[in-house]
Amino acid sequence: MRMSSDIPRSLRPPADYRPGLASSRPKLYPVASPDSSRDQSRSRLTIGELFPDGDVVGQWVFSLTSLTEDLHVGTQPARQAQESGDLRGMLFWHRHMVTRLYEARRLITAARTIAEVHAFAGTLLHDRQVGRT
Amino acid sequence: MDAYTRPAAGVPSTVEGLYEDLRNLTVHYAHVGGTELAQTLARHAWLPAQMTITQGVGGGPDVQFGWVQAIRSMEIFGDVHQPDFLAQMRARGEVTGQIVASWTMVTAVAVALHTHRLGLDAHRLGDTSGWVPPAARDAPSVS
Repeated sequence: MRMSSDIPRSLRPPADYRPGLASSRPKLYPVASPDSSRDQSRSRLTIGELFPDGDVVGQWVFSLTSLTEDLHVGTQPARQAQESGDLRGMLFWHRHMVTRLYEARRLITAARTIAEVHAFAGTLLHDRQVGRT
Repeated sequence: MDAYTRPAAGVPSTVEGLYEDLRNLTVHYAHVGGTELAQTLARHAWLPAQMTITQGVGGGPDVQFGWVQAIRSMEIFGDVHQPDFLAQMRARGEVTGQIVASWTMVTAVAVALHTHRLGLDAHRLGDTSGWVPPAARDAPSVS
């Protein structure tokens, strides 16, 4: 690995470049409101409520939402790259989308092989014809 | 759609086919010294080898290796100079978009069913008023 002093000047980052140091704080996920314990029926759900410990169906639903997160983060950039003829962007987002869709086969396998998940999701997947492996 | 179904034993499903097309050049890097990489380079030896280094947003260098983009796109999307290139791109995008739309629909229904199953008030999930999953037939084209 070359040290920075060996890197041609044209490839060197600016002197003030600090990888990993964002210039602004990303939008944070909200925390539970302080009064959540007093009026639970109106407060935000917690992850612990939505995905109870040991609930395999909850784990499947969490994985499903992880997949959809990953797919939707790429949908708009993929479309923009295609519309603007950005080949580099098209390749990147196509790779992202297809690898996510390929990984999603595990969700279908889980719905076939885990009885509780099958009872919950079998009809759902069949109705949407997402398919079997 | 049945995109995950193998039509016959040993025949890849739609998703497996999409993945196989791009795996070797974009997910995994071909083995250095192996015949696959050598053959890939030889197959596209006639293409121009170009690179650019420009100043990107924020002042850092934007480095692009055109030969990587050229070989990957030729292998995955086909030759951009062929008259049916756009039609192939569009077809691939429609397939991908339909699968994405189906997963989105499944997710929306699954979250609602799961919340109901646990006896939780779905309104406590937050503002979901904008989540109207598209029908698969109306799926946007993404690739």
